[in-house]
Amino acid sequence: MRAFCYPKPRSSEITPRHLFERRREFLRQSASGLALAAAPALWSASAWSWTGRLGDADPTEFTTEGDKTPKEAIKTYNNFFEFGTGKDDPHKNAHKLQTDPWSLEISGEVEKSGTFGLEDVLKHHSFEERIYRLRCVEAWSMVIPWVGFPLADLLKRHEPTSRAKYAMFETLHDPEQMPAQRRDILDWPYREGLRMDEAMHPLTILAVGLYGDVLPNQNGAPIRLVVPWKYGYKSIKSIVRIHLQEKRPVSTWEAERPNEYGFYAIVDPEVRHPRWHQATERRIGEDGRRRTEKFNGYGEHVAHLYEGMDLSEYR
Amino acid sequence: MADSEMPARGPRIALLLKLLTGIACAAPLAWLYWAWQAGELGFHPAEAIVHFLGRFGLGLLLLTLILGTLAHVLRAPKLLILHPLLGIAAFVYLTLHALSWAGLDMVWEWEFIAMEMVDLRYLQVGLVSLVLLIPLPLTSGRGLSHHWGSTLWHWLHRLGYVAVAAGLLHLWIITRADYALPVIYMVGFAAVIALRLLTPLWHTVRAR
Ligand code: HEM
Repeated sequence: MRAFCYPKPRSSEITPRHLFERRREFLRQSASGLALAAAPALWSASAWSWTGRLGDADPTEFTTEGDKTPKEAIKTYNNFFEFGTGKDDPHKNAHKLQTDPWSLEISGEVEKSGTFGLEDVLKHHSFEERIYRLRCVEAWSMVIPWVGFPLADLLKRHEPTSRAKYAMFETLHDPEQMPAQRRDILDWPYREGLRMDEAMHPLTILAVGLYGDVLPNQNGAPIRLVVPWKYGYKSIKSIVRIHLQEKRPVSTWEAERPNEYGFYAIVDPEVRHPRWHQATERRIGEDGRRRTEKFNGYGEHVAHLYEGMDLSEYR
Repeated sequence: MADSEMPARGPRIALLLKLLTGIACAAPLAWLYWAWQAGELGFHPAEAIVHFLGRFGLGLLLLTLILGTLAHVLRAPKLLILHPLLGIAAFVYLTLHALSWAGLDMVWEWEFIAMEMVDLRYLQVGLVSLVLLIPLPLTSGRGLSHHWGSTLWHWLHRLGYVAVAAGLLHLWIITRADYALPVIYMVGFAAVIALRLLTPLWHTVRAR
């Protein structure tokens, strides 16, 4: 039996800040403890030294007013088909995912390509809290306090060449850890892509934390993309590779059903989708329905990226 | 006198079977209601309820067709005592399925309901399927089939096949990536059709 009861907890019932802070202290202590214990063995693969910084992340100008979706909801209501197609499958199966050690390959049109341990990637970045709306193409939404850093910062460090027009991302492909990959329900590994200006946009982040703590596996641990003005499927999870290229990549859902899941996938109540009506959405944890906003409400920041493009054609 | 005190075993078994089937049909619905009230359906209970009722409803409808077909193929009309019960249960589930979408997911916002019905093909197909089913429970009594003459009755009840076909299309359209459930249901439906088409042939061959 789950601890949670319908109707949903109010925002006042979200775990209070001071509890998180204590947790953070605990994490910090245990992280340093771990480091001490590991030092004699010269064991440098402790990716988790960065987790102590998660709770220190400060909010930025890009944040969302209003109630955050309860953490329990964010953890138990997921689309992550690598772990099954049911909404509760990821939460049940994602414990099989091994996130430590983790490596990230940066390849293609960059001056500095290579494969890096996650801790080596993260040591270059300070973390920010970004409270973003997430709108799924299935007409539900959440408000999620991510912890992460701008993707642009990482890309710049690897020096994209002049031929880098698009960024392609890939999720881990390992049926041992991601049991639903044993069946070919999608063309694994999951791939997504962004145009370079979208990838470099300050709203686009790589998230490594949630609610001031490490990302739960079912939310895309240890590192995932978050692009808040696009439908959720663009925000690829558990990334192992970022590849810059000249040609536009084809994303997994686009390959599956090109007439339904566009490459741009911009949240737009006016653009029809054959399965789900995009005019309204269910904010998870709320009883009623809300009207969906164009660009998921981020129009003032991103509308200029699409000037002159017919977004009903370039879905 | 002794006869009425001591009814034949047949009718008693029939009654027992009907009772058990009735309980089996009602149990999932009772569970769903309990789970909903107890907060066991996760953070989007409306979606869980719509899906549960759709799956069970279509499953029950298929079972109804399978039972009818078996009775026909095996020439065992006694099987048909459970037929009305299953059919009505399927109808109840599917009606609640549609109502739970309108009431819980669309929260009775007529503007949203109308908008979605106008724009989404799978909802239109679902509505057609449900409307085709309406005459069936209304005419499900055995008395009626005699009264109307079995030709009209049988013709009317072929609507069940069309409704299932539409229900399968509805399910097919909204399936995301994993087609296991629609494929299982379609295999069931195909088996029913095949049996229906092949039995007359089989009987004529044997009659020679
Ligand atoms: C006005 C009538 C109906 C409405 C409004 C309706 C609505 C819906 C909705 C909203 C869904 C969920 C779609 C999604 O996953 O996004 C659904 C799924 C489904 N419906 Fe219906 N439906 C109707 C009639 C029917 C009928 C008559 C049948 C069967 C004969 C049926 C069988 C199903 C099935 C099997 C599913 C899939 C459930 C699952 O994935 O677990 N529906 N329907």
